[in-house]
Amino acid sequence: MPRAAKIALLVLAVAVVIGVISFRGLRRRVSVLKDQDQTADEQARQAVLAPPISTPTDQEVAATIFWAAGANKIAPVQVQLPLSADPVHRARQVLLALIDNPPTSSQRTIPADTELLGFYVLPDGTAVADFSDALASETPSGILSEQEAVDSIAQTLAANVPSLHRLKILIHGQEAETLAGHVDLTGFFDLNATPTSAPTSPSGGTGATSH
Amino acid sequence: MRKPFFLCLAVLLVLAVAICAPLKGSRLSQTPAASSQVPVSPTLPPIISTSQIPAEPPVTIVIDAAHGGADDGARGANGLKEKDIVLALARGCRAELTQHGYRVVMTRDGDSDPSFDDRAAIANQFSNAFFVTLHIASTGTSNTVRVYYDRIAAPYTMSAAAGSSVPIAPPPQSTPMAASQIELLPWRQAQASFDDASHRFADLVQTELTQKFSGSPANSMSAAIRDLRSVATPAIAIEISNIGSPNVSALEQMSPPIASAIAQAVAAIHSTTSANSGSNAMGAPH
Repeated sequence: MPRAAKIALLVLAVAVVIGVISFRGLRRRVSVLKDQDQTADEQARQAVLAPPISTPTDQEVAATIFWAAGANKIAPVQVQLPLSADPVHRARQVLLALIDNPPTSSQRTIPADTELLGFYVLPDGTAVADFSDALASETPSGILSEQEAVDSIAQTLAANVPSLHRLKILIHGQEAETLAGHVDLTGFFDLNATPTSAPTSPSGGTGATSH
Repeated sequence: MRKPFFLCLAVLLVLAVAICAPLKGSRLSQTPAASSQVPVSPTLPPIISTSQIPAEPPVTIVIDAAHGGADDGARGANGLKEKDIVLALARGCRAELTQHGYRVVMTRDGDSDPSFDDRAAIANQFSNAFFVTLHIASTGTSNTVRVYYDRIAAPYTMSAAAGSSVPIAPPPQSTPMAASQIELLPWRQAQASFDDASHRFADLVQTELTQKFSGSPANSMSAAIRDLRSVATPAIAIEISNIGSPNVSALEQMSPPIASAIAQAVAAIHSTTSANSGSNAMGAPH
């Protein structure tokens, strides 16, 4: 083999090795940048869509929020949050945390564009949560993903607002037959079998909207 | 003066008799036909004699290919549509289950989209039936399978419900029953009466499928599935992950193992039912 060919082969081999090493680094860097972009997007969205709710009775407590935890399940995560003594405001605060602050994007159960349009508590302890269309249109279609979305809402409410008995989910003020083709929204979701305190809010019990 | 009057009266009477006679005759001639609807004569055979009632109706498996028509279901980046894959799977399952000797009914066999209630109504025609709805998820680990039964919420107790009229579905009947024996189920809560049987059916199918598709959960799960809510027979949903799978042919070839799992589960339940004949092992309305 001529000397020039050997040199060319050597140069090519070195270039391939450098390419492989730099490609791995490049992929890692792209993935980091992607996560940073998503986090920045979500922070910007949160600032616009969901201004924090603060009430005079707010107290910093360890709230329990249910996010996705690997395949097929959700799990509780303890988060320090200022929570109101009023059940309606308290419920809105934990739902906003659920939507806006998942620790990582892979733990998200509710689409980032979802808005909580209203939250009400009926005298019998039935909570009515009214979400924007994004909950229905952007939740991935499937029993698994839809049930995870509903479970994360229901279990987060049950864990932090013990006076709530059951949950009705509305989409843009209307009863929807399903969330995204599978999970039934015409019924109610169980929260606390035995509500532990007065189910209605001290401010009148008809609830409040987030607008 | 009186003679024409009596003559007219006589003519009118004759006419009246002539007009009424055929009517009377026709009424009489209808009577036997009407009576054939109801076994009033002891000489006529009853509509269904006890000897004609089969000891047990044949097992029917209702396969529901989810979505269809304008409803694509989950969509993959590769252009795949859930409605097409589940229809292919349903047809494959029908062929396999028919070979196992079961009567198989499909809720759709083309690109149509029956309503949830229409699908349930098809299943509710049959006694001794099992309902299986097939789905492909957008998420989840590829080539894993989850089996679901309906999650029943706490009873609806709001006062508004007390005055509302909800459609009622009679439970499937295998034998004629007196009106007083018929138990009616609220259409939208029909599955609640079959919760235990559906849970058992789901567990049996999940166990079989977990052996065939590693990574699938060990136990079946409950979910509030609209497709199952009004089905008055043991009912499950099988969801395969996922529509974005790069190995599309693997999705399409899943019907034999799924059909085999359904057949084994139905056989296991059926053998228990036969052994406990007369008991409520099938999960009949309670």
